[in-house]
Amino acid sequence: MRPPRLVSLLLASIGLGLSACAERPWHGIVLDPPAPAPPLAAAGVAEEPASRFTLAAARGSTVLVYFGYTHCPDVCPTTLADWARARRALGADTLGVRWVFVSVDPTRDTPADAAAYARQFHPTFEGTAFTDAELAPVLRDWSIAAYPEGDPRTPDYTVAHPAHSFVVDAEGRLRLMIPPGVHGDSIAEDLRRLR
Amino acid sequence: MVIRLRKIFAVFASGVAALACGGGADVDPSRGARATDDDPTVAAAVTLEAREAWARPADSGATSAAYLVLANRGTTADTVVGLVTEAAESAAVHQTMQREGTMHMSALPVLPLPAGAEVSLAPLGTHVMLLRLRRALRAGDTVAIGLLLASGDTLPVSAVIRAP
Repeated sequence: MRPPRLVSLLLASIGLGLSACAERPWHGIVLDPPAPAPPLAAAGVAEEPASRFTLAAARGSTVLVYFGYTHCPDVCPTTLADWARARRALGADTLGVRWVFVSVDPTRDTPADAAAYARQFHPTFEGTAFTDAELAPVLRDWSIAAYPEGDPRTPDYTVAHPAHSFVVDAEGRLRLMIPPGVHGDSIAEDLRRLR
Repeated sequence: MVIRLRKIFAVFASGVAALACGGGADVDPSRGARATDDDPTVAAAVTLEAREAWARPADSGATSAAYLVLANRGTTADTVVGLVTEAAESAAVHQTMQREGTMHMSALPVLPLPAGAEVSLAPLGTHVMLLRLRRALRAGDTVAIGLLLASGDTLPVSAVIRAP
């Protein structure tokens, strides 16, 4: 009776393995239950299509949103480089994923600046910026903080900005917050699970 | 820790003086480095090692960050008190911090290098800000940065530009 016992043991271990798979932790912070994502609509500029972005019109796509600024030397490039790695890791699965960099530095960044900055990391990345007046309701709706640190009349001020990337699913629901420093492969893994 | 012109002049002047007095060879005033056989500060200087230095690509006028590992193999602590670089209008050591979901940066006035310790400047932590770049930094280029030390030495670092 050894072979059947071995088979059942194997089956049991596969079952255990599968359940462990199902329970493996997300790399991002899961928002449970998912809530409708706050609005995000940037008119951008006509000559830069990658700066015109409306979340409501992106239904059917998974959307990553990161609020940063183009003079950000450390966290923003680290995050966008991780996005680029995630995009490469996704391969064909990247279809239907949009990657949107939103500047929270209205003093220095134009929509075209933000679009050009995002494109440095991957040609398909989108980027946009708001005026001061447009930015205020975005910060309020998303419950996030962003403000200059240092004197914004000098060239070298920095900007406090949200740490996480936000992930909105194809139904327009906010599903994940990805902390800075999560490797691109791990981001790709989370995005695959969302689909 | 903004570039301190007075400090640069002091370092340059010391190089020029050493040359003028014939007391030292191997002085590279463009980097502000001092390296002479009879210079008593050399013993301290050679115990400091910079390695794995790299910086992010960026356009002219933009901001970049440089990262490196500093190893103090000596028995005396030293401190980075300033930075010089040809590539940017200004350079400073900054620290990235996360507080309540928001990222902040603050300038570190000095960067201590304890005796026998390694100090790592890495993404999402302490880094060298290169502000208002005088030229575009492209992958494969290098950027020269001089670390001005409290001991009076300057540690020259060559950072290679690469995407992380």
